[in-house]
Amino acid sequence: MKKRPVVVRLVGAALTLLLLWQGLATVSYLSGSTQLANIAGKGTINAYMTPLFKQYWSVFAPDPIQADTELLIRAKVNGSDTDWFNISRADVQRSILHHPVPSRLYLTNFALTSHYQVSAELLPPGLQSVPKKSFVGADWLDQLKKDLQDGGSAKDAAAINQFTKDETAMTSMVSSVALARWGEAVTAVQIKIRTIPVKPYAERNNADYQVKPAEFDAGWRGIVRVPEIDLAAITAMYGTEAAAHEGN
Amino acid sequence: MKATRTSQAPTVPPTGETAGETAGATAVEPRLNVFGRLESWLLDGKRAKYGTSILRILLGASVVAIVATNFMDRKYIWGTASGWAQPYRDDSIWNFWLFKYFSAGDPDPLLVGKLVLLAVFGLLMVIGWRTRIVTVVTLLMFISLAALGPTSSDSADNALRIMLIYSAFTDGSQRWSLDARRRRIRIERMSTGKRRRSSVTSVVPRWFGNIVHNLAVVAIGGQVIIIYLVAGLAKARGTLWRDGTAIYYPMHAENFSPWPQLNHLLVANDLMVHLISWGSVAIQVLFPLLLLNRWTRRLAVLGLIAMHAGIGIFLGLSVFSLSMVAADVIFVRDSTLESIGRWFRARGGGRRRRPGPHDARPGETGHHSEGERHGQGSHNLTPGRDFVDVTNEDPAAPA
Repeated sequence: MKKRPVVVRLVGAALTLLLLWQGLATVSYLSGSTQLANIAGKGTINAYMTPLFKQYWSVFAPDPIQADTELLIRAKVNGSDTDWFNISRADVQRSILHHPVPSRLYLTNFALTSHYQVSAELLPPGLQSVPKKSFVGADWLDQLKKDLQDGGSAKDAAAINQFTKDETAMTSMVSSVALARWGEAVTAVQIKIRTIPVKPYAERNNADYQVKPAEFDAGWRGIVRVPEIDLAAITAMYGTEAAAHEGN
Repeated sequence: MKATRTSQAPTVPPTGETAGETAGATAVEPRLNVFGRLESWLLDGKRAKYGTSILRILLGASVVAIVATNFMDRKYIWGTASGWAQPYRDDSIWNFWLFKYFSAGDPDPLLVGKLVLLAVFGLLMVIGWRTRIVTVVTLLMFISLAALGPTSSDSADNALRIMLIYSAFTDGSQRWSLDARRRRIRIERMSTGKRRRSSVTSVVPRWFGNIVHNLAVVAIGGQVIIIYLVAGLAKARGTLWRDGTAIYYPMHAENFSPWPQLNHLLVANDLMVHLISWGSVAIQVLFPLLLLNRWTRRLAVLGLIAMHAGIGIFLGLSVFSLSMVAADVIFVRDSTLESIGRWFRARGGGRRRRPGPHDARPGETGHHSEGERHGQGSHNLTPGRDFVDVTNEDPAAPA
């Protein structure tokens, strides 16, 4: 073997060990096994991997997406309900269809919708009905929080906090779009999440087969005025001129 | 002396080749044992020079693509119309001063300026100008941007971020870069006496640069293997992947269909649906095994590049695909890429730079040939090392 200075071999060995640790940490982090993830002490590997090496590779797994998820919104304007506006369809038109490199616009609203759906589903059984109830007025968020806390227990705190965060972000976004689309007279907003399954593979050539969309209607919410938000920019994307179709 | 055989994918030299070929040993050197070959692979020169250079170029292109394709929607995703995302930003794992280049409070002209600067850094990566520092700065800027859109980030960002981190530890400027061109000009000037040797003294010893580069190459290879294995095994648990119809579904989902008619055409054929579905799982699960043989490795890399091209074109996940293709190329040997380059030159009669006084040719002794590096191991800390990492490639010439 070639003769080399000791320092070269020591540094080489140390850096190789570092690489081995990196590999071990990555495998443990992604293993999905609590035992493996804590192999270096509870939380050590997670703390090492987050945030720089945070990763998730089970896209389209175990099974791929089998439905289109659409977010629709409507508002109360001067006491009347507007038509539903399909934000997802507007996003597909604006950023995906015939775009070789789609922008992240669709992803932005899809991920928000997905977060909301998941956190609503993760609420304890006794609180499952809360998202469907209406909370209006300036203190709508306080009313919602009170309902969640009254119906939940201490062990539900994480689920309640997550839903509250997702609800706040969702209502803030929807309020901003509603104000941009229907003007300052908007007093309340409501969302509908529509899931439209792709026709099953076995039925792909059956022209008579009708897919059955599933719909989740949240209750009405008071509007959130996001400080200093650029409503003109949102109008340019979701205003009646930019996105004319209502999506029903 | 063999000059280029040592540049290769981050695998242990295959047993089918001689130690001399794989470790760049010369006829006068003794045959090395496994540890010696590993040590030589690690210390005696930088590996995957083309692979790391292609990685640099494609990662830079990915950053430019992100800025360009999201520019029209920037206000809603990151800017003045994105304040609704504040509840997520408050709890972000990226709330750290190092990742605060982009800020939620940036007015639009400032956001535009910062995005343009990020795109410029992406371009600088592509052309290989001050590669290492530019890669690090690009990484920090990109992380900051991704953190600003908490619901606008997905696996594409994970892939790009992690590959940028590893890429920062490689010397991705060895081929097709302004850095390589600058080094070549320095050498030429020194040879004509227009420049003193001491002016290009490296800050760190050559061997240290080699170790860091080569281990980063291994890290990239390892990460790619882990990605495919995790993704493949996760899919193997799914009933739709197992029955061979999985790919039909995203091809019919609106949000994954930039060209719906094209998608429907592709999956209209039963055989095609099953081939793509099973093939995707098979190539990912078997990827580590396919790396063990030269021909299956080539097949695997070509297959994965084709798979990612398909994902990019048909499902619109272009940035993710580009980042993964960039990483896949690390498994292609330099000698293979050089052969491909020679084939293209022979077929197309492409422009070729006239050999300069410092160009080493295979079979000749050159001051930057791998063989001679081995012979000069003890010169690491002498001024002679200045020559070693110089690439005389014409950055404009094909591989």
